Amino acid sequence: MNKIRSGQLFTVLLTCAAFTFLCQSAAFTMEGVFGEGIAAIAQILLCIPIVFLYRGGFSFSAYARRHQLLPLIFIGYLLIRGGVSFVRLQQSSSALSLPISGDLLAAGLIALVCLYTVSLGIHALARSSTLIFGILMFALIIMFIGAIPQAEPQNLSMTPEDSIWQGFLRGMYRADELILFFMLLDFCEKKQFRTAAAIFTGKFALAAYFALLGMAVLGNRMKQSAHPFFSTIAISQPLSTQRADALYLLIFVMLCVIRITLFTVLAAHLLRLSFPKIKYTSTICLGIMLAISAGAAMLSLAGWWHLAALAVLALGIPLCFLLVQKRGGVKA
Amino acid sequence: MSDNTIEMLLQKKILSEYKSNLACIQQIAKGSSDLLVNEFLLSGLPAALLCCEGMLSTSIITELILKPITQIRMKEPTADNIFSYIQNRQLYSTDRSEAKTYEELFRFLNSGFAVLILEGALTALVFGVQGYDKRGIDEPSGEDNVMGAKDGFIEVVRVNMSLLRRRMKSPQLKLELFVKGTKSQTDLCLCYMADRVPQKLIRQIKERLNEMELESILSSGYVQPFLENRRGCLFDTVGTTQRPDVLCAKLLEGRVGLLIEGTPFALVIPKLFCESFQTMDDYCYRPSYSTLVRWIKYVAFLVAVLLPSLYIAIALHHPELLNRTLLLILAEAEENAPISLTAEAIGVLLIYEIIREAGLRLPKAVGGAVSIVAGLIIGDAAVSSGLISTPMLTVTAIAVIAGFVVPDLAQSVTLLRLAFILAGGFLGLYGISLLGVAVLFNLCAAESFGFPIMAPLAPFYPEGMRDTVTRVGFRKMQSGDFTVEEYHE
Repeated sequence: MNKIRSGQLFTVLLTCAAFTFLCQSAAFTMEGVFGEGIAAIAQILLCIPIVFLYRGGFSFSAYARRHQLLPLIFIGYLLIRGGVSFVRLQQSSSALSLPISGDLLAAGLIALVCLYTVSLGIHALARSSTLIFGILMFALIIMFIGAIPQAEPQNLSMTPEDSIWQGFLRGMYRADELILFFMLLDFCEKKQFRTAAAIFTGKFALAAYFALLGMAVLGNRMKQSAHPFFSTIAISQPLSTQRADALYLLIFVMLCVIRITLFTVLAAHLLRLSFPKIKYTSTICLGIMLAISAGAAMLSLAGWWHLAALAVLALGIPLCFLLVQKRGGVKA
Repeated sequence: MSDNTIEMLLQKKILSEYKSNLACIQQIAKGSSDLLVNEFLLSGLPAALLCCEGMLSTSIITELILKPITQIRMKEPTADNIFSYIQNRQLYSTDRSEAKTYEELFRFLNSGFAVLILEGALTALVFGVQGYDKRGIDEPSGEDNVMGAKDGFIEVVRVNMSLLRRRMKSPQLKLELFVKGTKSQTDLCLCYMADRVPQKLIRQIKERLNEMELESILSSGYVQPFLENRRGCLFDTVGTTQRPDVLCAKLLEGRVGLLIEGTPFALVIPKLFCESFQTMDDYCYRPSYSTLVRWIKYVAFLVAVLLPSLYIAIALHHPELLNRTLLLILAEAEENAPISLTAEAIGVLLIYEIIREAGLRLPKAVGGAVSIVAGLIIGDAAVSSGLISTPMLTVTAIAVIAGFVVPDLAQSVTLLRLAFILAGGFLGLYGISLLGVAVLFNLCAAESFGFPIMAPLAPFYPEGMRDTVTRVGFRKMQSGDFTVEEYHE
């Protein structure tokens, strides 16, 4: 696999994270913002052993070539989270009023595009993320321009129905970027800690932006909203005579493709390394993700299982490797 | 005589016996009426001056070669002495060489050289006296500009080389001439600035050209696929230009140019996507105006590709996005249309492509008539009869005109426009977004010899923005010393 730049790692993970904010079904709250802030700090701290591990000469790909069990766990995680992304897409499609009958068809079409984008490799993904990040920033500016006339600062207040702890948990539930960071740092030219800090600070900034703008615009309407982001953009249009929803739909699709492509690229890469005889790895991975999304009723989108997985994959495993490395036992 | 016999003869070395030599040449050229053989005695030895009719200047060959050669008188006339005398004491032509095999001899002969064969000589002397008719240097038809130079490449590679040399007097400009095409023996010229070009790029291009086993090279399109890196790329990764000034600018940025005999286009490697929006005029106007023009081109490109599809998607699937006034206008216009919007758009675009193709292939005088028939009669009649709605025709016309702003991308724009119309027609904005992402990934994946064509946007190089997002003045640009190598991955 090709090397990617630190800047590209930043844009890949941030665009990947932005999709979850767009699909968020929980109400935006001030407690949520504080909780996200603490979650961001926690994620930055969790990156420290990962960065040290890679600086010590560790290579995830090299490890995956020799061992099968651990990569298999990561593959499982990526496939499930990819499937969850498909579920989020299907759930949000009602808010987007897609001209397609059947949510699964919408997911299938995305899978079709992802099959193509995955075939182009991680380099294309990394480069595309730079442009998509630019388009996202442009959309956020448009959103801001539209939201300002509708915003009421008094709506930015604490709510008794939420707590910072719950906000923190929500922030950690969607901390996929931590595991993705662990895996992607392998392809990164420079293993810098400041990249990790920038990624999770940026993620918090995005979360805070969506939350504060959403709260200010929606106010009490937040409770009735199934998808706060889409409700916010529905109200805050930059032009009085013309709606700008097309831009947000474009952004939504782009972010969705980036996210699913990233999960698939990494899962297929690990599958190829650990089981070199398996062919059509990308197609297999996307098929499993779609199957998972089809049986999504049984899955909790964000919950304790995800926290447990994070604890094992993003904290436990890097720490174990680091300890073994310090004792001179890790070859890869 | 079979092809194999000719091939075998061509590989042979030139014989010392004059008569056998001439017989062999005539045997190879049997059936060709354009081989002229002037036999005479050169200081008592039988000799012949061979040339290809119509490929050289008769006045030059008579005055500079035939006349002085026939006047040579030597005391000890041997082939070596005579050739040595001609080579060292007589300067009949500045472009002189020797042919050792019949293959070389015929290549020179058919390139417009005069060839001298002599009894006892194991080589043939060749004199560059080309004088074939060629088109004059005039303004490039496909790359017009207002303030830039008005000369363009022509079909003769040596003239094109001189056009470059006139602008770049530095000895760092290298013009490597070589021959490709087993049958056509076409001259190709690789141009680069030795101090700017990445050596790896030159090596890779030469390797690719050596892989080429074409019989003939009749246009740049024959060579281009061998220099393209990846199949399935929607946009060109090898650029073309008709302008020597543009090629000089590219060479200064460390790119490689390839001139091909018989085509007035030079290939430029690598080509970046953003270069499609740059013209020589941009560097003649004030930076602020050039920046505005450049942004107009970016918008025009998006309009050319997306406008018809957006119109269809919104009108068919997302009418809620339109304001009431616009919605009523469109609904009224489309009410009486007998076919669906998607079919209408594809129909209009296909008719446009047919008219364009007809206008392009027909003689200019008739081409004008086609435009009148198409624009006034068919267009007006189609709208009045209700076959096509006025908004659809307007939207298509705007998209087509916008496409003219970036002629470099015309082929890709045409294909993408149709694809987006289908996506928008069937899946609305969702389809357009999906296709948009796929196109974006395709663009970002495209590379030319390791240079990502989307540079400096993706990967992002802030320094590159000064000639992409804006166009800074030459005072700032002169300090850059930019070469394309910076973008190599």
